[in-house]
Amino acid sequence: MIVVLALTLTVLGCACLYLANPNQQWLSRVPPRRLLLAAGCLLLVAGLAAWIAALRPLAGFFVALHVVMVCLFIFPYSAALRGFARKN
Amino acid sequence: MIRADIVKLYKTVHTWTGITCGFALFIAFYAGALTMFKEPISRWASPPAVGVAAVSLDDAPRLLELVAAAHPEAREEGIKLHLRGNENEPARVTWEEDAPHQEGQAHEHVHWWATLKPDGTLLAKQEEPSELADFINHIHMRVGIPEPWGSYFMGVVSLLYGVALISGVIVLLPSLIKDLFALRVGKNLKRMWLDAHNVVGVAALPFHIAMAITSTALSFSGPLWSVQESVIFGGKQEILNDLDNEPFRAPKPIGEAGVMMPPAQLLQKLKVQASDFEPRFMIFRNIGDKAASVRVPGAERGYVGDTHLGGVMLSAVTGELLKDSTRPSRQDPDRRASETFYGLHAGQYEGATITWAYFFLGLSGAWLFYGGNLLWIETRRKNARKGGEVEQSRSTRLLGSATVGVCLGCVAGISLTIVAAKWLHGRVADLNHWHELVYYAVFLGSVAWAFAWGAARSAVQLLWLCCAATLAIPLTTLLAALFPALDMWAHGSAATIGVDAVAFIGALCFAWMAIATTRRIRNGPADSIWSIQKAGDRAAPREPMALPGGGSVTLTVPIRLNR
Repeated sequence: MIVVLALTLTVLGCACLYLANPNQQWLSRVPPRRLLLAAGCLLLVAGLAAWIAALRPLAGFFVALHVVMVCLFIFPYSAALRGFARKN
Repeated sequence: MIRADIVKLYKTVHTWTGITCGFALFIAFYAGALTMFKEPISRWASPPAVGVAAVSLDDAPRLLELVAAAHPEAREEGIKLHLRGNENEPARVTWEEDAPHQEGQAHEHVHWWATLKPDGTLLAKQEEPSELADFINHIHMRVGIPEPWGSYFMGVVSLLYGVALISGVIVLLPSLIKDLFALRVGKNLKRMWLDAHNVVGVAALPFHIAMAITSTALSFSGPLWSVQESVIFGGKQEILNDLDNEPFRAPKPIGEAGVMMPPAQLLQKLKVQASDFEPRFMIFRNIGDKAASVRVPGAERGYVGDTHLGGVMLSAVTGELLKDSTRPSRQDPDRRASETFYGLHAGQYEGATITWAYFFLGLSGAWLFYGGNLLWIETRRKNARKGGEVEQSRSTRLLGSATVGVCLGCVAGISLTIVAAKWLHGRVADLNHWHELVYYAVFLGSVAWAFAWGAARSAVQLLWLCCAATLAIPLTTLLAALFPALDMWAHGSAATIGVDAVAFIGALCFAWMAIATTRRIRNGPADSIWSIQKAGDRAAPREPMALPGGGSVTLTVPIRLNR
């Protein structure tokens, strides 16, 4: 259960960070970037804490880091694919 | 602010290290991504046998006794008792014996499994297990080059990969913040490929740094060990090796008979003594002797490198814990550091989350190198264009063909060699050798095909080959389930169905890429190597709308095609 929570928090944190970036292509209008940035950081810290609670500090850190990496390249690609599908 | 000439210098370094290592790294990353599912692939490829369930754990003591009596070499070397019931565990008990060889010479092993017949007597059979998953791992580690050259080659490639990473970061620094997460799909193909390359490279940078360091160390571990031996330890490293292997060494038999504790009871004893430890299987040595022991490899959740070499050793007579210094929570700092190092490379920790994360990061790494080559080709086209369409240089065409042939040949070769596990089982004498033949034939054939037909045409043809080969994985399982006369099998476990499901999704992706690339070669700029038109055929070509995945498409449809 705690793994699901950790995964959810980490993915949501990454989504907030992506939306806070000026190059994001998910939404035409986004909430204030600072708010998103703060929410993203908080969610990621909570996610990291949950991973550490589920595992141990080192393993928890590495799992969180790898999930973040996957999200941060999948999100721009998903946005680009959606944009491409709309154009066609 | 970094000076422009420095950025230019590092760009050149990044380009050429990337181009020279890109092919090997594509293969290593694609095969490495699949290696994350080594066990499911091994289970998918293993034929049904008598299975672990055929002998209950309560009946295991009798089976172990019979095997130990009938096979003295197994009694001494170790008899493995399986606990999980996976498809790649042919029976409750398996063991290895030395193949016939000259004393002191390197030799192979033969594999046996054993079960109990209905009348309670022993049924033992020599049968080689599927080495398909190991072969894919071999492709991952050494891109198919025999040892020791494969390791040396990949060591050098890994070093250059590290150089490419550092130089790439330096090149990117001036625009890092401005272009972070930007992926602009549009008319400017060079921009698109650059963004596609940078998004993956920047987002997954820590993963790539870890891979560059660990793969260099793993590839050069043999030579480094030898240098240490002579330069630092002066020939005394064997003493350290001996100490290192001590936790795995079983106590010597004392020649007195002892009553073995049943495996189920041993597992209960283990649970009491190491509650967080998850046993995978048990290896019994010297059954029947008072000093008989059982080594239990397993995992301890929460540690990086939690399963690699970790385990405990119990007395098979009393259940007393004899050795547990290789268990993650008991390892000394040296061993813990090296296990963490290995675990970070292989993604051996946590479970499904990290397996899938490494799988996607591995595929993204393969895409990074494929995209890097496409970026180089597109840059050359832009540079050569100078206002009008031109024929592409020979080097550009050759790199395009090599990129298509090597990358797609690797993908198709791996898919078809997986399929061969079911189609060729029981029809050829040495299936494991056939896995190699199938892979290399498809790989080399694809490379030759790409050079013969050129990058544009062969890209479409080989993408369809990848699609068909990958789709053949779930179709083979479906055929096996529908037509038992084909003498194949369709396991029903989630892990093996997962292999079919992932292959099906992969085949759809290849089909989509093939369709997109077909549009690209027909409608894209004629001065590109990705076009089947000749440069100058169209007076004013429209720049294509880019498609990720190797293709792009124009919004207008040209009429005249030169084939």
